[in-house]
Amino acid sequence: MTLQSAEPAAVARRVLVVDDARTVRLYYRGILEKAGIDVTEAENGLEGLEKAEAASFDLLLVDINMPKMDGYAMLRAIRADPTMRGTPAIMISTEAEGRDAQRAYEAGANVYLVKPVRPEQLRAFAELLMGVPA
Amino acid sequence: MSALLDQFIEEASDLLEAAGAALLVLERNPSDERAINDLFRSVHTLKGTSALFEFPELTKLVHAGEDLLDCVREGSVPVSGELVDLQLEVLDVLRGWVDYVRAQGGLPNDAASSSRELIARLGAMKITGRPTELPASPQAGVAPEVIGDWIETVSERERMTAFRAALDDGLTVAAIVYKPDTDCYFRGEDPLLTWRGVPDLLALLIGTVGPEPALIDFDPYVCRLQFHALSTAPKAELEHLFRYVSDQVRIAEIPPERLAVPVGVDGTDPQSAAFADECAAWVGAGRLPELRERALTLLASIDSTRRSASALRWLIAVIESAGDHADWLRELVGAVGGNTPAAFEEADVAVVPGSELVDRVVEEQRRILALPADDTVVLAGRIASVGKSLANIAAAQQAFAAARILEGATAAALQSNDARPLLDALHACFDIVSRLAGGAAAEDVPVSRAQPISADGHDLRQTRMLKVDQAKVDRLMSLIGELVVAKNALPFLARRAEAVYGSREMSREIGQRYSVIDRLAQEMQEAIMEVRLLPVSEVFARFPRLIRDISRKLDKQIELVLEGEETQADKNIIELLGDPLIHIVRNAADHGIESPQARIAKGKPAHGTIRLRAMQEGDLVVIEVSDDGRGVDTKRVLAKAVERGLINPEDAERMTAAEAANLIFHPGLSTADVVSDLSGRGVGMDVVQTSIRDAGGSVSVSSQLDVGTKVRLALPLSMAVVRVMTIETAGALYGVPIDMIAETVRIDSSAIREIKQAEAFLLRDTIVPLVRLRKLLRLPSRYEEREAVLVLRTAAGLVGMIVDRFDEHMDIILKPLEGILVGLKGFSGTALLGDGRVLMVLDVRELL
Repeated sequence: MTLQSAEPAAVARRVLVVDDARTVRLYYRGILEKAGIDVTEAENGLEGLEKAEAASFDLLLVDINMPKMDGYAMLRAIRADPTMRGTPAIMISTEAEGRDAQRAYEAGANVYLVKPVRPEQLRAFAELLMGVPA
Repeated sequence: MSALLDQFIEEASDLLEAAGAALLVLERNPSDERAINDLFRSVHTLKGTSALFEFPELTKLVHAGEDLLDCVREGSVPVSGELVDLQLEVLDVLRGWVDYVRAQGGLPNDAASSSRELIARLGAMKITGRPTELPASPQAGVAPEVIGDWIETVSERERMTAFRAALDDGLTVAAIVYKPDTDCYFRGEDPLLTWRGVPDLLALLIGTVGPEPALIDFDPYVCRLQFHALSTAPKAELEHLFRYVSDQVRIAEIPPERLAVPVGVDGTDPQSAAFADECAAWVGAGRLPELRERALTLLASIDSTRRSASALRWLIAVIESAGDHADWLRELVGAVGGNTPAAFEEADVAVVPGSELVDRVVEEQRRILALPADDTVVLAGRIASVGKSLANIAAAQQAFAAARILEGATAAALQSNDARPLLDALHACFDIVSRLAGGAAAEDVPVSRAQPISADGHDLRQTRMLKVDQAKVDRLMSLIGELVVAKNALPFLARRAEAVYGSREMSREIGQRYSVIDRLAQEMQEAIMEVRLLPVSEVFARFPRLIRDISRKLDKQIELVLEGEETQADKNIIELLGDPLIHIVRNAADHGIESPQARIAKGKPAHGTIRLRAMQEGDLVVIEVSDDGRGVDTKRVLAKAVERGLINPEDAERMTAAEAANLIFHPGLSTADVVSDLSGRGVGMDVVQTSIRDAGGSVSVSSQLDVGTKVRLALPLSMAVVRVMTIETAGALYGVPIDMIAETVRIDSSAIREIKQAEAFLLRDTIVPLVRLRKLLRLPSRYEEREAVLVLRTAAGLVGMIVDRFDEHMDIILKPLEGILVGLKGFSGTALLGDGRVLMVLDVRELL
């Protein structure tokens, strides 16, 4: 196993943002791009899955409640695919922790956050999970 | 306004519209799962999105609406008319707010009060449907600051009451800390009122946040209060009560021992010290009744304000409560002797570990690995993602050795299909990691409110759809319009090249170039027009709601059928269609469709049908509104028209039913008192006619008594460019819109027949009245052997207009009359010609 993730990388990290709300995507994009992170958007789980299959990402940022395919289903599919299953994922939803957090972890999230997520908070979690030194 | 806010406004409008549509579907079919899911998702998304902005009233209202919908989704609250009404009202209010935000950048002043009122009603509807039950609180777990020093400031008597309730009655005691936002009064939050609603309140401390300000600095509109309270109400109930200020409230269950804190004046006395020494062993020996006796005796003899007296009282209370509290009793016995109980000190120190972010994420990875997995694929996915996350976290802390260990453990775990190697590495490494990282990066992790967002470097990179400001498209449209006009200069130039400079070749070349430019300009114009095309559904979308409201209000049963919603037309036309259509549809529902009883009496189905049908006919968009109501009573319309002197009795007799029905567009007949009772047509059909005609369209009605009425609107697909025929009269050039012209004929003056003062001619067996443009414009008359006649289509049939000379067809951009010309009758506007002349465009209807 190579240790690419363990060395400070010169290439920009890539995040796939999956959320059906345009405004929310724009918000995440603004925060992440300011941190020098490449952002790709998808507006539902199905599109997210397609995009995740088409390119490799360092982190997935996934909403739960979305049309066509929800975040749980998308993460389950990602985790079942040997080439994608290792990608860390943050699941973000509006529900307070509890039942939903449990479901998020079961589906394959590594971190569960509750909206609204503050910019510095999102950035800190994202960078940590992608191995970017603080 | 930031790009993000713009985006929000647009998206919120879309979501509200989608929610409204889904709500109506749901009302018709309460078990429509797709509708409820669509509805829920729209509202849910709106809630999540709105939380990015500082619109607390909006977010809370959406939240409350979603709360109720959640119950509907779970089936605990049924879909009723009232529920739909209330939710629609909420959507209306939200739509109003979004519009207000668009215009003003913020919420209206009354947002707080209306939000509160609606939230209360939503809450009431929810509670009537099911008992209170809330998802886990946002602050699940005991937040350290809830249970703090303040508890000791609650009077001993109140704490004692709570304590007894907990130990004797088995109730849980909740600590509540409520720090209202300083601007809470402006959001309609009334903290005191909220407290009044708190059940089983045992103690309430009201204080200020920070030192009280000097009187001169005191601002009554700024809330500086903070509240601490104890209640024996269930935590879930309290959370429900405080759910709209959940970000300002923390609630935690207090372990009873946190209540039993001895307070009072420090200092020891020999008696108390002796008691502590002597009785310390009694607890272990189980001599509790004796201990109690001794405590009571001592209590009677010492100063009751002393801390040791307080410790005695607690000691007695703990003994009296059932249960084994040996450690606790020992502490209290020690406290009587003047010791500070160690446990109490420690409980106050709720130290947050330094690198909370790392700790928290690592802890979550540990939890994920510990989750049961009954499927090897699921387990492998978990191991892979957790392993990768942990290695990345280590790398982020520059702990590359740990990262390597974790990656190795991940591989091993994947191979053996067992999370244990990774779990071991997690435990091993994260001690290493935290040592290496040295508790750096103290991140503030708990989830809280969003900060207001600044427009920091967002750029829109939407890939598939491009959202463009309407003004930009309008500008393109007006530019292409000018180009279309400018190119009209070329034919003039070509003619001049030949006539003035005698170069036929040059003239031809210009002509060729012109045709190329003409084609390009036309294509460009079409392309831009296409951008502006909107589906008719934009206007139709509001009708389900309108019909629903009317039918509920009037107790009628009306079904609305929409057809051809995908038909497209220019945005101006679509926008213009809105009001007239509302008028017509409302009339149909209001006056056309009969009450169910009346319908049954006529042998019709109880529910009436209103059909909105859109289609494209050539370069016209046609909208038909038909109903199967009572129809227009043409006899009575005619009678009224005659009575009002609008038509003479002879004409009335000759009028066909269609002509009579169209009389309802006559301003003199379009008043409520007349029309609604006699024709089933409501107010202001003349207004409808005027606005449709102003857009270059036409409107007609056909009706059959007791069968129904059909109103037909025909509008040009676009009104930006008008094709006119230019005509010359008395040396001036005038334009007449092509779509008004049926044909052009030349007639011999002998063919003109005089009927009284009027003139007419025979056009293929039809008598067509003639008018002379010179006369209409009050210009000197001129009579010719052969007259050029423009045959015009008008509402009253064909009319011939004699002009001096026909000229050419051209596309023009019609500019409305401005300034002092506004009052000029008979002209609809002007246009600039390629050679710089101004063309006056005739408003034929007004002229005739």
